[in-house]
Amino acid sequence: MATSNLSGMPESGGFVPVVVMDQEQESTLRQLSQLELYWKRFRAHRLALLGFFVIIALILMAIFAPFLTGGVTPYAIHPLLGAQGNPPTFDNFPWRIMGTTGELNGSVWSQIAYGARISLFIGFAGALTASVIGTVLGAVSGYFGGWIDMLLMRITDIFLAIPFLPLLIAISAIYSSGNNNPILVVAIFGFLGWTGIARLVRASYLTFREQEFTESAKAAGVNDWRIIFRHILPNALTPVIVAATLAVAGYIVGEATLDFLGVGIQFQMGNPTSFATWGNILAQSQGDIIIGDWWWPLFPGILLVITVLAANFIGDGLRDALDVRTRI
Amino acid sequence: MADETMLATSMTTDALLDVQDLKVYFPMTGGLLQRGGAVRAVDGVNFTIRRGETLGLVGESGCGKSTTGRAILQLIPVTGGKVIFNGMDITKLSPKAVRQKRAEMQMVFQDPFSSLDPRYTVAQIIGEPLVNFKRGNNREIDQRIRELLSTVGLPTNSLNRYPHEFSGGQRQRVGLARALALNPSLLIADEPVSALDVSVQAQVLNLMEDLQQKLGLAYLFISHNLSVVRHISQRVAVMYLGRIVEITASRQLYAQPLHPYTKALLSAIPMPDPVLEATRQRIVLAGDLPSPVAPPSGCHFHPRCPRAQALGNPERCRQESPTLTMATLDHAVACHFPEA
Repeated sequence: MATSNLSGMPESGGFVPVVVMDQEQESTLRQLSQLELYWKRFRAHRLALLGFFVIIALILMAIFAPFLTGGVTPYAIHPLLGAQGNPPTFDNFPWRIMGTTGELNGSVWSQIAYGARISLFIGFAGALTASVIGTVLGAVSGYFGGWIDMLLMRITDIFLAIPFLPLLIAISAIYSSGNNNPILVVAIFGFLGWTGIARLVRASYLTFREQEFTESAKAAGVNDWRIIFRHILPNALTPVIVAATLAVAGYIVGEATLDFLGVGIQFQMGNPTSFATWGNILAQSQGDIIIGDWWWPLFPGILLVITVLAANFIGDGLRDALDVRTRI
Repeated sequence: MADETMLATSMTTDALLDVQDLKVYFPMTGGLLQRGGAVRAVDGVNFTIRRGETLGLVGESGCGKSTTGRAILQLIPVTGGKVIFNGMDITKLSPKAVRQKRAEMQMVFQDPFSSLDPRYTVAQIIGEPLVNFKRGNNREIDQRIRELLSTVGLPTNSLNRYPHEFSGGQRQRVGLARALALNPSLLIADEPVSALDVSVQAQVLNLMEDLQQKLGLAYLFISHNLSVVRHISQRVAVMYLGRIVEITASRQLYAQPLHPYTKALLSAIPMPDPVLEATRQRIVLAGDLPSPVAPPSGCHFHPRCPRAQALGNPERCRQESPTLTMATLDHAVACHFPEA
């Protein structure tokens, strides 16, 4: 007895897929599983596929940074790593793309490769945290309405009313200054960034809870939580995905902003307890631009743009892939 | 047909559903000024449905037909009255007990395009109540889904398809299969065919009749279409502004309506025969359905009632609310001056 996974979601005691395919199956065509169908639709979206591979490549770059940089750490200050004021060289590619930073010699390549670890982590984990918090609060608020909605939306308003950047700076200054803890930065973005997504999700739920399929589920004895997460959520997810992919980009840049202001993750060459991020490489490159060392802002900047674009393309593709009404 | 004998025997046996003085008010809050007051969507409705019987519920838009159906299923909170199903008042049950009761009464919805979750396959849609009420293991549930599909006349290859791949009539069949999954004894059908083409309407109606005979289902058939109701119902209740104004056997109602409102409704049915159509006398009611927030005093119908006008607007119509009383055996009407 082969069971195809219809929902494509983890089966945590919830809705068990019920299509059993056995020898009595009339249809001669092999039925595609839900995941296969999602992948097929996603694949049809060329740019999304490109974005997907770009992100995979960036993640691989981050994971295998030590190998790709030939052991040149981002902290390494070495007289052999290019002469001061000289553009990066491509000697012994790929691990010797080097440049200088101000008065210190360092490897641009090594710094952006290692920096990808922190930048990608903050971008994706921050967007995920914010989306999860925003989705749950928005869903509960929109579905139940009444005083729950009132309470949650006023809390959302309070969060929205506080200017984002000063609050971010204050919190980072208190908790993360000197700690250099990327998880703390993620938490800060997650706990401050959910408001927009909560509002989006709430609006969708207000619409969907009036739809007859919600009532139909109630009439079939389905409980509220399953209606919220199994019936309405898949229908309401599209704007969340788009907002989340935008948030990935936003948080990578946001982290750069914090670094720039000196309250984010600090990077000092020669200090192996600090972390390089694309943001702080950019932030530190302001002096380099003036003296004409264009490679310092250029390479992390390009990677930032590529990541943001790729995330947006993936969001586009996911939106189409998750919509069962899309024709393949 | 067998409905005469059924009527005769079931008169003495217990009713499957007994709705007593059902009230559903929607309080008017919101806005800066608390206006108080309430929309009296359903305002004291009484009727019974016997096992295996179809009761048609007709009335114009906004008269509270759908609200009545939803209130019976406890999908919206009931303000007052009793809904006695199988001898038990279900308005007093806990939400959990109500959920259990819903296995025995199911609903077919009006709009086949929004009543099925677009992200669920047909198998998931039909199987959901079964999984939810733990009716067997995966294999048994799968078997039951296939059985239900053939019951409603859909091919088995529909299992892994999504609702958007079906036509309106097919979707309504899916909705029927889902409603039938738990073997309910009562189906509340809220305008189940009004969103369908006329030819498809006939198919779905015939299917519903077949199912009734096969499974012994009782229907509360809510519709604004009098011809459809006549076709499928053994008994018909006419609703006006949250109240039932007339209730009797289908044949009796169409042959001999007693309430002036029913008369006006029936006169609006077009006749297929052009010769007869030319002689049809329409009773055109003046004005619109009054607001259920502030219904007219006395008989709710009196400002639009042709009979009250013919009688010179009697005091009684304007002051006293008529109760639903038996005019003849099994023919109840709520009118001070019923006309034979």
